[in-house]
Amino acid sequence: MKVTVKSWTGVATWRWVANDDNCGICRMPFDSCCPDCKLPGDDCPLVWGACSHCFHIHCIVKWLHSQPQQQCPMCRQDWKFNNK
Amino acid sequence: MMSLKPRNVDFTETWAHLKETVAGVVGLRAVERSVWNTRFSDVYALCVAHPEPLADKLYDETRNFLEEHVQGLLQRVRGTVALDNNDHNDGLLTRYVTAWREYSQGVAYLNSLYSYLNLQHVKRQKVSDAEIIYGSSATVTCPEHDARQLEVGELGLEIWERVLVKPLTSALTGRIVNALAAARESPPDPAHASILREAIHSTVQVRAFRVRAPLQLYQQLVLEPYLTAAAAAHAKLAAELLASGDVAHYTKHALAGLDREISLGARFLDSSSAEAVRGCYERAAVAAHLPALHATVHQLMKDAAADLPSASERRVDLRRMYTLLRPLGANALRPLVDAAHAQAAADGQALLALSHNKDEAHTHFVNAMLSLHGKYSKLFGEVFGGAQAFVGALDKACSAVVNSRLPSDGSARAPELLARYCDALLRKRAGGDADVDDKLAAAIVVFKYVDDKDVFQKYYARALARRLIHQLSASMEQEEAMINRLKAACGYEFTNKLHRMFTDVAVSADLNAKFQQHLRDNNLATSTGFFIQVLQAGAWPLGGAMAPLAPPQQLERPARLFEAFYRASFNGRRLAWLHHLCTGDLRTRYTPRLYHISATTPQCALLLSFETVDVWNARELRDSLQLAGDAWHRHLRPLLDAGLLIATGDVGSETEDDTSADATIALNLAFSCKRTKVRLTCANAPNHPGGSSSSNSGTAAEPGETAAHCDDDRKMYLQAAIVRIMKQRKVLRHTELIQEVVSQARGSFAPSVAMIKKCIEALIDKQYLERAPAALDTYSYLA
Repeated sequence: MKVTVKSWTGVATWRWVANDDNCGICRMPFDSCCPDCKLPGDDCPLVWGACSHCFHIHCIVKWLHSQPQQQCPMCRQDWKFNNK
Repeated sequence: MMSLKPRNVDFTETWAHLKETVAGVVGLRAVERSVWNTRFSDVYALCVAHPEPLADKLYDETRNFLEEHVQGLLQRVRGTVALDNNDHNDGLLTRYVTAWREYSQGVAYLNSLYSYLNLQHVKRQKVSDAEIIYGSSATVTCPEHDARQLEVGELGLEIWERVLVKPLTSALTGRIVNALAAARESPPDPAHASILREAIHSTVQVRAFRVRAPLQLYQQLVLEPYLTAAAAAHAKLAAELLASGDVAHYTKHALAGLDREISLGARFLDSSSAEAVRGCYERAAVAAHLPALHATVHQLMKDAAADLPSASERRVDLRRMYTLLRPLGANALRPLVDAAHAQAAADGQALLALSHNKDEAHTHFVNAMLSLHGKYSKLFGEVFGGAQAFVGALDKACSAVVNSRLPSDGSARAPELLARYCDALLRKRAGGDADVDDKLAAAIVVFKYVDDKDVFQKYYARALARRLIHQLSASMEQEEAMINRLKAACGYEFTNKLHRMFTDVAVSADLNAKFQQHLRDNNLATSTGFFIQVLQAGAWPLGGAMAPLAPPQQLERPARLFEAFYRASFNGRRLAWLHHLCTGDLRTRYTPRLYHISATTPQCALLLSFETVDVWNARELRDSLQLAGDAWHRHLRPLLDAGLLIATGDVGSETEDDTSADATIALNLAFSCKRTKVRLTCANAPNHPGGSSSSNSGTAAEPGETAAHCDDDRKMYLQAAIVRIMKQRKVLRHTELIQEVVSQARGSFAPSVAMIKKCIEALIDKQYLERAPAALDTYSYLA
C-alpha cells in the first residue's frame, strides 16, 4: 500500500424525489415548503399515498380534514399513507 | 360679644371711625388690636345694616379714600426731580419702591379688614374665572371695567396703577431701561439691584389678580422698551465683535454675551420673559450675522476634525457655534450639518484611498470605516451633544463612503470586503484573537451602512458554507452569535438560510451517530474513518452540477453503505455527492517520512491510482477517473504544485481542455516537505463565460457572476413585493407603488427605479397586473 485512507468526510446534498415538481394542493414546488411553513426540509416533509401521488404532509392533512371522505385530491381513490 | 343681628347704623359716624383706621392700615401705622377688632365689626355692621345695607356706600367711600391716598403718594414719589431726564440714579426709583412696599402691604392688610365685604358683597357680583375665559352669554362686561366687582385689595392695586403708575409711566420706563443697560455693563450694588428688581416686579404684582392679561402692564412698561433697547445694543456688540476678530473670537464673546443676558433677565425680569430675552439676543446678535457664520463652518469643521494640536480649540469653537445656532432652528443649522456630512464623507474617502496591502483589503476597509465612524461619532457627540441631525449626517456620510463604487467597473466592493472580513475573523487561526466578538460586533456597525445587503448575504453564506463543510470555524458560538447579530440588524428573512445551514450541520452529526450504530449492529464496520454531512439542496450556496467521478474503491464501500442506510431511513430523498467538497485524510507510505495529506475526493482518487504503477498516461488516468472538463485541472493542479505528482508533457492548462496523448504523470517518490501535514485544496473554477461546467468550491467566485445571481434574486424579490402590495391595494398609482416597493426592499438592497419598472412590465406580461384603462399611470391587480 502506497497510500492509505485514514478517514473520509463525505459531503452530499439531498432533495425530494417525487413524480412531480409541484405539490398538487398548494402548487408550491416540492423543493420549497408548504405555504404555512417558513423553511423547507425536515420540518415540512412530503408524503406519498398508496395511489403514488405525493403532497406536502401539511397540505394533505389539511385537505383530509376538510373532506367528508378520505380521498386523494388527484385521483379520487381512497387515501392511504404509503409507508413503503 | 357683638350682636350679629342687622341693625340701624349711622354711616357717617361709623365711616369716620373706620376711615381713620383705614388710613392707619394703609400707611402701615400701628393699629391697636381692640380697635382693629371693632373696625372689623363695623365693616360687618355696615354691610348688613338695616333697613338698607350700606355696603355699596362703604365701597365707594373706601375707593375715594384710596384714590386720595395714592394721589398723595404720587406727589411723594415724584418729588422735585424733572421727570424726563431718565437718570436712573436720581432717586425716583427708590422713592417709588419705598411707596410701593408700604402701599402694597397696607392694601393687603386692608383687604383682611374688609374681608366680610369681600366675601359677601363682592364675590356675589364677581363672575367666575371660567366665564371670563370661555365667555358666557350673561357676562359681556369685563370685570376690570366695573370697579364694584373688585375685592378691596384688588381695588387698591387698581387705583395704584391708575393714579400713580400712569402719570409716571415714561419716567419709570426710561429709568428702568437705563438701569438695566447699566447693570449689563457692570453689576449694580445690592441695594440698587434690589430696588430695580422690586420696581420691575411691582408692575407684575399690581396686576397679578387679573385673569385677563396679567402681564400687560409689565410688558408695556418694562419688557417691550427693554427688548427694543437691548436689541440695538446686541446688534452693535455683535457687529463690533465680527469686525474686531475672527469667528472664534465672535462665538466666544457672543456666547458669553448670551449667558450674561440670560442671567440679567433671570435676575431682574419676570421669569415669564426668559424666552423673550433669549430670542431677542439671538435675533439681534446671531441671526443677523448668519451668512457670515455659515461662510466659515466648512473650514471650521475641517480644522476641528484634523489631527492637529489646535483641533481641540477648534472643537470648542465649533461647539460654541452650535450652541449659538441651535436655537435658531433647523435652517440655521443646515449649513453646519452639511459641512459635517461633507467633512465625514471626504475623510472617509481619504481613509479608504490610503495605500494598503491587496490581500488585506478587507481588513483595511473595515478598519477604515470603523475608525471613521468612531472618530466622527466621538467628535459629533463631543461637539454637538449627539444631536439627531448630526447623527443623521454621519450616517449619510458613512453610507455614502461604504457604498461608493469603483470608478473602473462601477461595482461596490463593500459587501464582498465585509464578508471576507467576517470570514477571516470566524476562521480557525493559529493565535486566536481574544477580541473576535468585539470585532464582529463592530463589523455590524459597518454592515448597517451597506446598501447591497443581499450581495453581502451571498458572500457571507458562501463563506459560512465553506467554514461549516470544511470545519474551519473557530467556534460555533461565535458563528451563531454573528448570525443572530445579522438577524437583529436585518430580520429573519435575511438569515433563515444561514440558520438552515446550521441546522443541517447539527442534523448531520445526529445522522452520523445513527449510521455508526447501524454499521456496528450489522458488522459492517470499516477501518476507514467515515464522517458525512448531508445538506439540504436548496439552502446551501453550492454549485448545482456534480462532477461525475468514479470514486476510488476504498471510498466506494462506505459511500454505498451510507447511501443504502440513507435510503432506508428517509423516504423519497435522493442523495448527490459533492466530491469537490469531500475531504479525505491520507497517509503516505512510499516516502521516507510519513505525510498526512488532506485532499478532495478526486485528488484522493488520483493518488490512490498510483497504487500499482508509478507512471500513468495522463489521458488514460483522466478517463479512468471519469474526471471531465476543468474538474480534471482543478484537482490535478494542486497535486502538481505541491510536488506530489510530476507531469511531463502537456497535461492541459486551465483554459484549454487538451491533454495531449503522450503526456504522463508520475508519482514523486522522492517527495519531501517541511511539514508533515499537507493540505490540498481544489483550485477555483476558471471564468468560463458559459459557466456550464461543474461549479467551483466557491472560494471567491467571480464577482460578476455573483452580481448576476443577485440581479435575478432582486427581480424575484421585487416582483413578489409588487404582487404583495397590489394584492392588498388592488389599485395603485405608479409613484405610490414605486415608493412602497422601495420601502419594502430597503432592508436588503436599494432597488433602482428602472429595475422596478422592468419588474412591473414583466408582471403585466404575466397578467398579474394591468394598466387601468382610464388612467395611464395607475395599475390594477388582476386576481
